[in-house]
Amino acid sequence: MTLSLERVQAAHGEVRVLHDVSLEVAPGQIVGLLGRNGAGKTTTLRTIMGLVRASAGRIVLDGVELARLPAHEVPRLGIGYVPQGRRLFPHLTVEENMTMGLLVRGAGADARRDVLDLFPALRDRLGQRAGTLSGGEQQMVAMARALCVRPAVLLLDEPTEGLMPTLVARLLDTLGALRARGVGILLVEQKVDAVLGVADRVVLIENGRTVRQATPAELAAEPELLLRHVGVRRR
Amino acid sequence: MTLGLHLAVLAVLAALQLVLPPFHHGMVARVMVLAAYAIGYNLLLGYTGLMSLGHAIFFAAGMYGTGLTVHHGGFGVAAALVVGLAAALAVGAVVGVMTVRTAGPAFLIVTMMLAQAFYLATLHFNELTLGDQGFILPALEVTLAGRAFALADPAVKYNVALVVFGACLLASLGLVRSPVGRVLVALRENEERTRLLGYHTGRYRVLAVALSGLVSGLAGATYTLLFSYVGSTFAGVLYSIYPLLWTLLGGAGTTLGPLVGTLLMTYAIDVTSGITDAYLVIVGAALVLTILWAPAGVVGGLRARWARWLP
Repeated sequence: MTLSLERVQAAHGEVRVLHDVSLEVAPGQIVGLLGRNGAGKTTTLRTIMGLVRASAGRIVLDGVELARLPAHEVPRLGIGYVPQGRRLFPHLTVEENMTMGLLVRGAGADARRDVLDLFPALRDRLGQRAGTLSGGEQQMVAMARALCVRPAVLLLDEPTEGLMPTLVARLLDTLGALRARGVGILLVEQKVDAVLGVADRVVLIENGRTVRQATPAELAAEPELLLRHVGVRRR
Repeated sequence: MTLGLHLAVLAVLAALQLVLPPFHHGMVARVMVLAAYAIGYNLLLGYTGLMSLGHAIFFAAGMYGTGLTVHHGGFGVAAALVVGLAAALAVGAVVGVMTVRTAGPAFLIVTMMLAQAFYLATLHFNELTLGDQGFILPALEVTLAGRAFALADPAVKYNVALVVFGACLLASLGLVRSPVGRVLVALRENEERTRLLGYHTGRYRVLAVALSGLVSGLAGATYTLLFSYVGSTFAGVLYSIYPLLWTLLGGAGTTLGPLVGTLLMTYAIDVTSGITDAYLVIVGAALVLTILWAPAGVVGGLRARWARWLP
């Protein structure tokens, strides 16, 4: 399933946040969305999920227009979302958090096993309350729960936030494994090196407008692009 | 183990009737009916995370639905009970729909206002309800296997209360372990996150309020059948506060908490009111101390310290 955004506009009340956002996430492709703070990265994800209403433009998943659907319908069509800060159900166990994902689309033991194969460390934590886990484990649970819905496209908002470097590397490996399974991933991240290391394509967003799309190799060849649009100087 | 514990609690309650003196026999029967009311409240506060200050509307809907049909329509026990349950379910669904976009203090205030409107209606239509004074039901009987049982008989009263309480307790246990119950708990934890997993949270909220109303209404209908009285007092704000206190004291979000809270508070009031006129001061102090010791309530405290498997 391909997710595409065409000239999407969205506002928080009277304040327009997205002016013109266009991008595409194909199956088995990781697309990084980079921009400065306040550029509209998180709002783009929330608009895809129906939490912020698109006032113009199209959001299409495999021919189905998402922009007019209620928020609870979007995950059922195959989009998983891991928000910034994980937002687990802290008083539920890891198993119960995952079950909430499994129940939505009637996924069974196969889906559960597949997800635990991706995050084997969670097997020993299934009975533990999610709120008592470390930051890295909580991130795993958040992703595991989203994957239990069996999404075709996964939206990740700053998944490496607060994680130590070894965990970041492990998480990026997991994204690679998901790509190999055909899951399309839209990755919002502050760690530019992490995005460039794993993404197939990068979309730069500035003031609510997607201003450039490029491969990591192209961005490496034109470092001034990152400096201009993201504020990061790479060596 | 969990089901076994609940069945053991019901077995103890069943056995108690053989040893209790007459006063406590009637008292425990009343506690069981009120604990069923608290179970209804707990479905909303403990498992869905919605604090209502107007639950008397459901208790009174069941009570008036049953009582009015007996008093004015001459209905039998079973038919009157069905009307009472239908009334409570309908009121629950309406309140659920009306409050679906509210949360926190707004939900609390809207439910309180709706219950006050219901209370005022019971006073306004006093030709039908006899207002504050209320009305007494005639002696009622239930027929089982060709044999008639008078509801005024203490043994019948006790066992009907036990059956109703047992049904509510086991139903609440089944609900919280079911997929629907898990979604309600997820709603309590984080409504937006639940919606983003693909759940129609509004629909689940209406369902939670309607189910809570149904169980509370069953308690109200049973109360009026067993104790033969209907009055607007039961629609007042005090009967909205009681289930909140019972549930908090026993443990919100625990299946046995409502019984423990109702039992403790009813007996605390009974014992202290025999000692002093200022019994509410003593009860209030005891409540504060209990909550300080166990902020999650008695059963919630036990669960946190020693029995994490308690539902």
